[in-house]
Amino acid sequence: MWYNTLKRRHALFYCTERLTLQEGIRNFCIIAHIDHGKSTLADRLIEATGTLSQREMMEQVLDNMDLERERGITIKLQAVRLIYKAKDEQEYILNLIDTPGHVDFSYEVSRSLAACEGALLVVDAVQGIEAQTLANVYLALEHNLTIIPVINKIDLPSADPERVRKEIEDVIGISTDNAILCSAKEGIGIQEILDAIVREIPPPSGDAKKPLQALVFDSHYDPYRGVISYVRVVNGEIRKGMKIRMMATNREFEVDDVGVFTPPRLPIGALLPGMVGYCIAGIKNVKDTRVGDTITSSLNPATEALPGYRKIVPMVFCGLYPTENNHYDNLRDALDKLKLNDSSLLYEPETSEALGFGFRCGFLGLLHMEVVQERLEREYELDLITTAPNTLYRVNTTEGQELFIDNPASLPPSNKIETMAEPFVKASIILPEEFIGTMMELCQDRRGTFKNMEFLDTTRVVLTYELPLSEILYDFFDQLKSRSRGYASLDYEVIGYRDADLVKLDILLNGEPVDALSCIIHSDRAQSKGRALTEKLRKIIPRQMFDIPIQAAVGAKVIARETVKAMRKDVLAKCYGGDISRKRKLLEKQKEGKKRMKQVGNVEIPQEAFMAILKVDE
Amino acid sequence: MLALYVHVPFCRSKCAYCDFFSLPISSQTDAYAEALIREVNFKGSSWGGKLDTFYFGGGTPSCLEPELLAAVLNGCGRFFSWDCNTEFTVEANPGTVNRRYLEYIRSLGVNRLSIGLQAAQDSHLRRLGRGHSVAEFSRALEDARSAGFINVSIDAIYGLPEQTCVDYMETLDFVVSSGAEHVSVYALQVESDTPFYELWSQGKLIVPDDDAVAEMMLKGRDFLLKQGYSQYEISNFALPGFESRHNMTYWRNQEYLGLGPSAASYIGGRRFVNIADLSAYTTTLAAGKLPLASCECLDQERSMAETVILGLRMLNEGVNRQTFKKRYGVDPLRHYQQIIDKWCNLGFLEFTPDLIRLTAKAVPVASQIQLTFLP
Repeated sequence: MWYNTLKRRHALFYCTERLTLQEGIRNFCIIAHIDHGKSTLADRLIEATGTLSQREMMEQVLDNMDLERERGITIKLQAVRLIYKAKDEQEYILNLIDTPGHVDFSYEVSRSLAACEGALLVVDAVQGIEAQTLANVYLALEHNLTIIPVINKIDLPSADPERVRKEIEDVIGISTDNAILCSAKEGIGIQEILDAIVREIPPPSGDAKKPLQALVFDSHYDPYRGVISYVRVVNGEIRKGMKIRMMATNREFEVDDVGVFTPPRLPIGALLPGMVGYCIAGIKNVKDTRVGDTITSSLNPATEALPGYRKIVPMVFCGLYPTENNHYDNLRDALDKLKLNDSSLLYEPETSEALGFGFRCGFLGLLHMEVVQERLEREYELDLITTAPNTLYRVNTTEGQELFIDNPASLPPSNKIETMAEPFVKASIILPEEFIGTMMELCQDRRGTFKNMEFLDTTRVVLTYELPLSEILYDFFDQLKSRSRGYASLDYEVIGYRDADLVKLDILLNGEPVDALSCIIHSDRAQSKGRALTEKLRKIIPRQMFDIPIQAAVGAKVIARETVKAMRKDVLAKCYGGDISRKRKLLEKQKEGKKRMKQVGNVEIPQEAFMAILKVDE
Repeated sequence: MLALYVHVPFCRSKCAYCDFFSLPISSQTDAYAEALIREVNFKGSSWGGKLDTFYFGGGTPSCLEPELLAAVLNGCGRFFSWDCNTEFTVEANPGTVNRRYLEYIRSLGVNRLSIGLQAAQDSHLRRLGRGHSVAEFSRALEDARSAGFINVSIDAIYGLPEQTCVDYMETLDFVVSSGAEHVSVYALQVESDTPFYELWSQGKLIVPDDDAVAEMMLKGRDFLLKQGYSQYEISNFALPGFESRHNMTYWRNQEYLGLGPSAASYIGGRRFVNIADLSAYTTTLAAGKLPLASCECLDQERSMAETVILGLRMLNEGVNRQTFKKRYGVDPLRHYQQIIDKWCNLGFLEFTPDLIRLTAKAVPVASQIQLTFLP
């Protein structure tokens, strides 16, 4: 059976060989908000072009990470090649490059956009445009991509395609004359979309005779084959056996294999201008290749690299520590490999008195942080302790130095600090009118400054606020969703640093400061945060053999105090019939449970304590 | 000298908190006695001898018919011997014994009775499903005295649903004024697969919280000490000379042999546990095989840890340094130096040149200290 499938794929490829001509190629991506039906639409496109038979189709082929399926989000870029016989009886190669929908991953979006000439803008016919969609469309327009509006879910009873059409015109400012009404679920409009892709998206430009320039837009590590680079050839060609050079690192390799995604990898002899595929070149060291780099030929190198991506600076940092200290090397290896797939991830070794050896890691946002953490735990089977996230603070010292602080523990003493500044964001929140009041309250509460309010249509508004990024880190998103019954969406961009009256809040357990529990917060909030945090910790830290005072302090001043009372009772009961094995096993189980805690001085701290600050209610 | 335990897996009714292996008393007692004698024949040939202690536990051994008890003892007598120096205990529940029965078992050599009272309030007894009243307990005790038992142990439980500290102290006061030579007190544990667990997991059973239970534990201890009992083991109090030798065998981590379904043995460095299923127990024995559910051979580290863990339960005797050294060739003070230092510094352990033991404040939280000795 496998053989037949393979044969069919080969046949597909060979019968369309002539279409490797650039005119027969269309490279496109799909821009959509989470839940607006991007994955279903992609599945239908794959199905309609017979790329995979129905039997081979797993639901939502593109979201192939467990995590993505569970959360219904796309994190990792994927690419798939569709063969489509259009009305003109010609066969076209349509390369669909998937894009992530979440604000944290706009960086990834810019990567896929750079490999495309066009984009399907998918908008839910009930919900209308959401904040992230808006951000991504603007990004696509910046890249000069052809946009094809697709209004999805028209089968729903409450669908209002005309309102959405108007919204797209008013808000994004593009014509919707060619907008396609579609229901990916019901298979309505799929043919029209395929035809529009062929008709409206221009074929890639590029010259096969020029020196090779291929953009690495993604990569992943395969334990058997080494690094697999996802490439889009712009000029020249990349062939099996040729010597290539990575232009950023100047490292040279020999191409073992090139091919396309059907979606499984299908080797073909060469990739020509405009083509999207993969390249395997025996690259074993993850540091030798970089997403955004340009591949050229060693013998006939291009003079210039392709423009790289918008470089995004991680703004969210946290400590990642192995629960067991001897797993440090495994964590480092796993981070090295993840970095290959995710060039936005930053990490460097750090040491904590409480947690031992670990890494300070930088992320694009909170979801990115969670995703990395979960991938480390699932794919690399690591047991991790994560410290509460913080942003990157700027400190001007009394000695005239400018420092960037990514860890509260490395903040200089307060008498050495002249000024401190924290990153601010411009946040756009799209929400139904009835929730404006509660949302404004939330933003004010989080030290936000109101900037603008604009009606999208008669019922929906865009609220614009300037907020400290740190305020968004702590359950802002959850609040946003719960206060709007799930209807609000958020997008933000960092707009720069602003001075703020910030202090370091330390937590002392049994009189000893625990470095991994410190945080930097606005001085107005120190008191309430300190109180909430000590109270939360009192609930999280189990009773031990003696009273444990928990103190929150700013400098030498204790601002809140709680006590975990000593354990009063823990005795194993009667030993009927002398079954001592059973009693011992109960003790062993208890001891095993303790191993998951961190010992700081004489105090045992459960892992969740290090994230407690995220969960406090002030 | 040997310690022998016999498990009698029958009760008139099952108490709502009990997770030990027992069945409603029935016609199966004959099959049980027959199988037990087979097991005696099996084990007795390798491990027979003079008994230092002999213990019938359950279940409710006192609900076994006198003839069956006699038959079982007869079977045991082929390999084991006992006399008036043997500590021979039978557990009994009020309502299952009368004076004639008690006189009869006294004549078979039983010299110690362990009577389950648990609480001195009928309301608590009903909730526990004990199937007897406080008055019936008093009658049973009176009968025991008349039958010539001068060594009687009484069980009580604290931390019962809706039990107050006052209730518990009333129970202990009642136990002491009954003249018990030995008192066993246990904190209630809501064990899975019991009716209490069902209720508890549905939120229908409210037990006192840890602080309240700890208060009962401490007040109860103070009271019993004041009344002249010594707390020779975490859960056991005795007037001078009435400490249970059978129990001490367990805590000293010495060998014992167990017979009957679900009974455990510790012999030749191995721990065995019998199947907790009467028909499997009888058919396995009938097929000529030992009815084992599990068997483990302890390595030295585990065995040492067990010796410490069990020894620490003995609040006066503690872990004997010389005995330990002789047994394992290792000085426990040196071997566990770090752990012992830590707990001594915190005031939970103390040691003399001869022994290591828990301090008074460590008693309520003994498990936390014990588990640190595990490998």
